[in-house]
Amino acid sequence: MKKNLQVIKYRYFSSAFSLILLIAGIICFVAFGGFNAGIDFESGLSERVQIAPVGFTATYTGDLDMVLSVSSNTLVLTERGADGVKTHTYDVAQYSTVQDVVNALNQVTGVKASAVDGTLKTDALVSGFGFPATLSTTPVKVNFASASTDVTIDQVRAALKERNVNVQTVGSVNQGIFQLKASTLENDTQEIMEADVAASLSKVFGAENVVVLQSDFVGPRFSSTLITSSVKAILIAVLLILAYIWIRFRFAYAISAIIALLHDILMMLVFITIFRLEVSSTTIAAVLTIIGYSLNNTIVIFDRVRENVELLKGQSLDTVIDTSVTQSLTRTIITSLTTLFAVVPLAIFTNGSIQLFALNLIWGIVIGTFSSNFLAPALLHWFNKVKPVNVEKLKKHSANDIA
Amino acid sequence: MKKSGRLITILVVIALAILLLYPTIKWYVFVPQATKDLATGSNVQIREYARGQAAKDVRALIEVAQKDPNTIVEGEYKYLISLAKDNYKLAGKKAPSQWTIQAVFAGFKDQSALFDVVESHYREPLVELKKLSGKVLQLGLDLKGGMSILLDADRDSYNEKIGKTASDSEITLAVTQDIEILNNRIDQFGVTDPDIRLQGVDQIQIEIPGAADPERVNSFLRGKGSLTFQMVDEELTSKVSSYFAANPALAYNADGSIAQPDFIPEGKTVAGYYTEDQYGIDVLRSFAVLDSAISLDGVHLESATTDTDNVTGRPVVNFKLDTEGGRIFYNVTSQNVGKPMAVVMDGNIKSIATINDAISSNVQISGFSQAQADSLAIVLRTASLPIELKIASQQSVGATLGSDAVSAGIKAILFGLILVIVFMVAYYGIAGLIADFALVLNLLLMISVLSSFQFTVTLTSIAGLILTLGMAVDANVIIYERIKEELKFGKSSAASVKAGFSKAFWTIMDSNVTTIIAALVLMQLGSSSVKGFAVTLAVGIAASLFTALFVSHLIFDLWITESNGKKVMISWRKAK
Repeated sequence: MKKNLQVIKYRYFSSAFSLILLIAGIICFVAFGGFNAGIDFESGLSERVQIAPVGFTATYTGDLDMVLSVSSNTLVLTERGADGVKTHTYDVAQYSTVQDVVNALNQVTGVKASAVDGTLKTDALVSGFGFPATLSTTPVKVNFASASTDVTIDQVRAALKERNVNVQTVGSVNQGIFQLKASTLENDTQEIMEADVAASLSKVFGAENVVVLQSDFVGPRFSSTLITSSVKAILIAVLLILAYIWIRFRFAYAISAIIALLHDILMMLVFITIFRLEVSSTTIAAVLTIIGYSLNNTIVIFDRVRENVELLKGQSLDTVIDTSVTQSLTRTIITSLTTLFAVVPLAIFTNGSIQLFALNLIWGIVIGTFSSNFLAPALLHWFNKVKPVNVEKLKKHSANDIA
Repeated sequence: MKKSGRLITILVVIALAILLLYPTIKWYVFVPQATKDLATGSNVQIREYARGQAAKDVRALIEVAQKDPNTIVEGEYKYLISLAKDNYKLAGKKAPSQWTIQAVFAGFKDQSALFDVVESHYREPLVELKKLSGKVLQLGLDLKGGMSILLDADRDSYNEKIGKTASDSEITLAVTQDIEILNNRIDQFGVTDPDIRLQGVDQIQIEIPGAADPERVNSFLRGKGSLTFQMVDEELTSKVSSYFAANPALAYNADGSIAQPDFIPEGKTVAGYYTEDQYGIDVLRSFAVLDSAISLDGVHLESATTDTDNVTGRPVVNFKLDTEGGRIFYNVTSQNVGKPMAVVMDGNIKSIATINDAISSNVQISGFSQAQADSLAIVLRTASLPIELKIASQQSVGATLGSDAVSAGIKAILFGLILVIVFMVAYYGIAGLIADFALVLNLLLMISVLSSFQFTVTLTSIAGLILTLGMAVDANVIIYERIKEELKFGKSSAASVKAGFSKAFWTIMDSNVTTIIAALVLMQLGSSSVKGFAVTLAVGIAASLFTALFVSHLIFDLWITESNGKKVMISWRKAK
């Protein structure tokens, strides 16, 4: 017979290990001021930008109030002065190219328009922020989308790489319109973030070609009610599990398993806090997965203890626990391995939220295995002193009534 | 149970799984991309396409007929022959021996009958496919993108409702509540994975996987009060009908709404009676005059279930009224026996029925399409929106993950799956192969059950599935380790397998039941993605219990019978 693992003998080491991690986690939590929440849990910036070439620029040197505006995709120039209001409309039917519009604008006294790319079509007018624009000596630029832009989403992603921005195409792919979502960094105001994003994009595409179509603050995807309701749900689940294990096993098993479970959840949070991992929707998934995994592990070992309490009558509970953990060892290792096999490649080959998901899970599997094999048995040892595992009352399962 | 019975059970389960997966397989494997794009368009777009194609075809046919009426109908128009043949039979005429274009034409009453047939030839497959597209595994926002909708809160109607001008923070609060409700409506099972956020002060930004379809969005936004019951004024109805028939130009206002002629007294309203055409588009059939006073407001509807009428076979909705609603409805119906009552949704009459006797609790109404009935049922099950919402813009958006990130993720997931499979064979030999078979079956079962919940496949959810598989192997590992122990005690193969399975049974049951308790609680109490996660977990556990305790067990039993109970290998090492 193999030599037993001395799980109970080293119980103080395993408890101390957990306690140290927990304290480290609390210190980091206080020091960092909470979790590093991602845009799923925090408000952030949602911006729609279009990368489009400049069609023409226009200046005005005169006394009138000259405003260039866009109304239903048509360029309108409004002169406002002592003599009243005069509007010039440059519709697509009459002025099909940018050059046509430029020529027409130059007819207006004081307005000087110069084409940057006169071949662009007028119907591809891009009207973003900054419209209506008052013309002055500083040139106002007007952008027009080219028939098909060669800006790819990968270029935009690369340009914004440093900021962890979520980028999506909008509409058909070749329009060059992109939806950006970015979480706020500490002390960021909307202005700072907008400027930051604009600067990153300008570096790659040129400041004149980046048109902001819309920019707004968006709230978190998951509200605080979701978090409180989820925590409530988990607590209720824990109570029901406690009841189930109490009925199927004994109270000492039930309370030990539940504490081990709560320990695993805490340890996941400690890991996320210490390494400043971004908390996203996948984090919730990871924590819930580990709840299932660790609970499963603990019950398998406790089931062995329950069985051995009967088989090894006369032995002390400590020996029974050590024997049970040892007997389950091969199974523990293989199951941990297969689970890790499924996750480790993700951590190595991917990045972003999937990699975070995988890292959370790997830690969870390690800590879950640790708690089932070392912590839960130690707890069982202690709780047994409070409320002894009564051998006689254990139900015996006849092997024949199944299958 | 006998082995043959067990085998049949397993085959039935596998067949059911494949049946559940069939729509998904059909959609992704057998439907060409161009057809998919057509089918996921709005109903109006499908109608335009089908009518356009039909017009083109009919013109081409007529041209051919004019050139040479004796041209034999072949190729893409062959489907017309069988339809024409049926018409010949119905008319009691003898079918011609040769199907010339002239003969085919003669099979249809007139050109418009021919057009209808050609139109439905284009329409039916698309309408069917559109239905199918709602039943398949969706690709999530991260992999495929979807549609992005911006909703504006209707401040005016909200101010009217609360009787004062609401401040920005009050509006934001109401919009936040709307978001919660929309979350429940859009994501009933928590597996759709939408992204719904507050934007600015009074806007909502929604991203949902799937094609841009305005009808789908409208069904989420419908309020409970949008469904009302109103009495019909028969006398005025016939007057209005003849008036509009005589003066069709006066029937509509400039904005397209139905005009209210001068002779309609106060307290009465003219409304349109709409029925759906074959595309699911509401079409005006007639006019009716309703009492403006609402007999019963939709807020009194407690729940709705959809059913099929026994006689007509058309979808009907069964509404259950709350206590107050029951009292109101009883009063109205008992006083108006023999008179017609209209069911009005969003201002349009959906059906008119004559009251046969007093009704107090359950109402059955026809006139809805299945999709409308379903979305109505969802709206009635969830709370009503505190503040009304209007669509400000709607656009399709691309995937949030780049193609390189997706392919790296898929590679890593496949690599992980292969590692698990190879490891099991490497460690357990033939027994490992059985575990791998159980694993693949497990994956099939999980995906097929989840697809019936309209599960949305994201990179994270795939990773979660594979992880569940890694954990599902556990059941087999527990059994195998037990069998090994029994073999070590010197028992025979058959006895070891028997003891192994029965000893492992309660271990596996207890450990999985505790986990399934957690999953069930989270399914009931959790919201959005937490709920979806719980659904996945519960399905995974059920599948793994079935494959390990039922499927693997049977394979082992068969193996023992085949080898006459001689040797069962649980590892590469030879048993002593």
